[in-house]
Amino acid sequence: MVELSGLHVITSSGKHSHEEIVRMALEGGAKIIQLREKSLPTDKLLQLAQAIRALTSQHGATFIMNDRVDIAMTVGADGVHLGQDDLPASEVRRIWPKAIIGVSCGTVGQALQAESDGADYIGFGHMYPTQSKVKLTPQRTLDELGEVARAVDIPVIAIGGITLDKVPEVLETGASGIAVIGAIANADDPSEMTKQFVQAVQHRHAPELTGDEFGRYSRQLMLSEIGFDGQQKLKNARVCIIGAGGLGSPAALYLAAAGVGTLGLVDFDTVDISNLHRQVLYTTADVGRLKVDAASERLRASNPNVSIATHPTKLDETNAKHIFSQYDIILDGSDNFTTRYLVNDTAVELGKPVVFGAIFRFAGQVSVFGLPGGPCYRCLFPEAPDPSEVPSCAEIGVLGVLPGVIGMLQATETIKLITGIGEPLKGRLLVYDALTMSVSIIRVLPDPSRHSSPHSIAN
Amino acid sequence: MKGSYALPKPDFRLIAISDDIRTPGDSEASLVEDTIELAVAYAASGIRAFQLRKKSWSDRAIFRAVNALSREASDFDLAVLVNERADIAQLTLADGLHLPEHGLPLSDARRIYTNGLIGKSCHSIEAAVKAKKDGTDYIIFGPVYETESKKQYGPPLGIEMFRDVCKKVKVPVFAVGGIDPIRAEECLNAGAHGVAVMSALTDNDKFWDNLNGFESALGEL
Repeated sequence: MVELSGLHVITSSGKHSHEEIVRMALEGGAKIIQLREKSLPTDKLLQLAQAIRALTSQHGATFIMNDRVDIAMTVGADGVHLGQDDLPASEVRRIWPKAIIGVSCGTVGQALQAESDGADYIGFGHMYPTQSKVKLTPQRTLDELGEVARAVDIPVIAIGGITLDKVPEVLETGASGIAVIGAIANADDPSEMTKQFVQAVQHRHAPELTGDEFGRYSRQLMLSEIGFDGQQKLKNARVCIIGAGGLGSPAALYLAAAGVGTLGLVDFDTVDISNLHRQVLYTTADVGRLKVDAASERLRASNPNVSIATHPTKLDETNAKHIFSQYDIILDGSDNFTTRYLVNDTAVELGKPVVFGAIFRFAGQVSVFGLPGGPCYRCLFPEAPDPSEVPSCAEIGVLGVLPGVIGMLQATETIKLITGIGEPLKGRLLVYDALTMSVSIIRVLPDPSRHSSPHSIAN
Repeated sequence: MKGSYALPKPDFRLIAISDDIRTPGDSEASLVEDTIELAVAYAASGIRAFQLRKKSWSDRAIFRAVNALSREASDFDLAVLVNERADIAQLTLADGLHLPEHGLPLSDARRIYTNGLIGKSCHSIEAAVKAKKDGTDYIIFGPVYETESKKQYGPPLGIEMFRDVCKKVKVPVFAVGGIDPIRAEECLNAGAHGVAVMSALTDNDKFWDNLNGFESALGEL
């Protein structure tokens, strides 16, 4: 089931077109977009909905169409939002079983009815004075919002005139999220405003650090660059590690130990005895086990506060977008060019940074791709080399400690990105040679044919 | 309304299209009741197709009205046609779905609404040819004559163009726009399968005269 809590951005034409609002909201990190447009004829509305479906798909975001079930089904939207005067949720469910269905409610009774009709979430409002059309319903109080949130088990999304400063008091009631129209659509910079709303909502939702965590991270909390804010950011962060092998092992161990809230592990392989000289996540007893199973056990033992998501599958075109969309940062510990290009292309499309690492015998490389204004992996290597020119560890061997060094550098860059400290390896490729014990930095520029403007790689 | 209306082509000749006039202060519930009453009265008078065209109504009201109609008019042989909305037509298992010129593409509508006939409004020969190609079950073409209610669709297209359309498309074509019994006969001679009317039936004083006139002009209703 798609996450329906958090920020819902409802488009409204005005200063910007619907498409512009949606594009900017997605760049700002919006994950749920609702199109509400009542004045266009069906064919024009259909075109608009198709455009928004394409945009939201590119960003792995959810697209919900307001009241027009026929158009929602035609463009392949994820669901539909219904008012009390629209079709009943139970009826829509009959012709569209998989739809996400939201229902606007103004009372506890309506919310309970919607829930029993099979709604997936409730829209409740309006909460504050507003210019948009939701004001047709009476203004509701925070107490009433809290009552509804307690009465139903599905997410309750507050709507109507919610500005940034109101987010804490709204979510304090127990509401699962907020829907925003004007505050984003009419902002000077809707993308930046979306980002601020996303942060405000996330901040409210993030559980505070526990006593165990205070003790556990005390040496890290002392660093003024990290502190409580940085630790909270680590706890809120979701990092996807591609490959639980030589690079993924140290990266995962240190990120879990540092308190990254959610770690995803993508690996389809099982542990082989020849892995153990470098893949320090595993013990001799793990030989033959699925790597992600053994790894998640080991990581939980290290830090039970971290949630480990396992993806025991080969990353390919059919699943990459879906997996990546659940994370903020991708740590690439893969060992082949096909996967690297797939990781790069998918992350660039979704606007997520990639912390890249690669090893070869005694040497390794690290960089951060996909940051705004920076290059991506294809800017460095436009084409994959011939497979015969790049033998694998299995064919040519590797110094066991080498992936340890590179994987830990990747973990370091990841922690820097999350907490926003220091200078990331953006536009710089770090090259490490264990034999000469030398580190060199090579500048990498964004390829202008690939990234037309400095903003073409989104945040 | 019959339970399963799956004839290959419309078996009716006259489509009564509802108007969408509302006086301020009318509650939607009372409008729904009035419309059901009207449609049942039409059915009792022998009319066999009723197109519910209520752009100002909420989806919920249209949904309720079509559902209620299928109960109230079940004793009659009345095809209920839902305007524009494939989702509502499918949910109510309406007998037909009528797509306006700027509505959902026929193929998309057909994926959602599988229960019965799909018709299409066309205001040019090109649109009619395309509708036929897209697989419409029937076409409502017009305005053929001068009429108040269809002014928004431009000047009348005339009986000669209507004749051309009927010749070209070879699917049942209903004439719309300023149709009275005499013009209905002219349209039939030009190749019409039938006619679609709004104002000719809303004037209570002339209702029976006009209805009888249509029946004799069309041979059947």
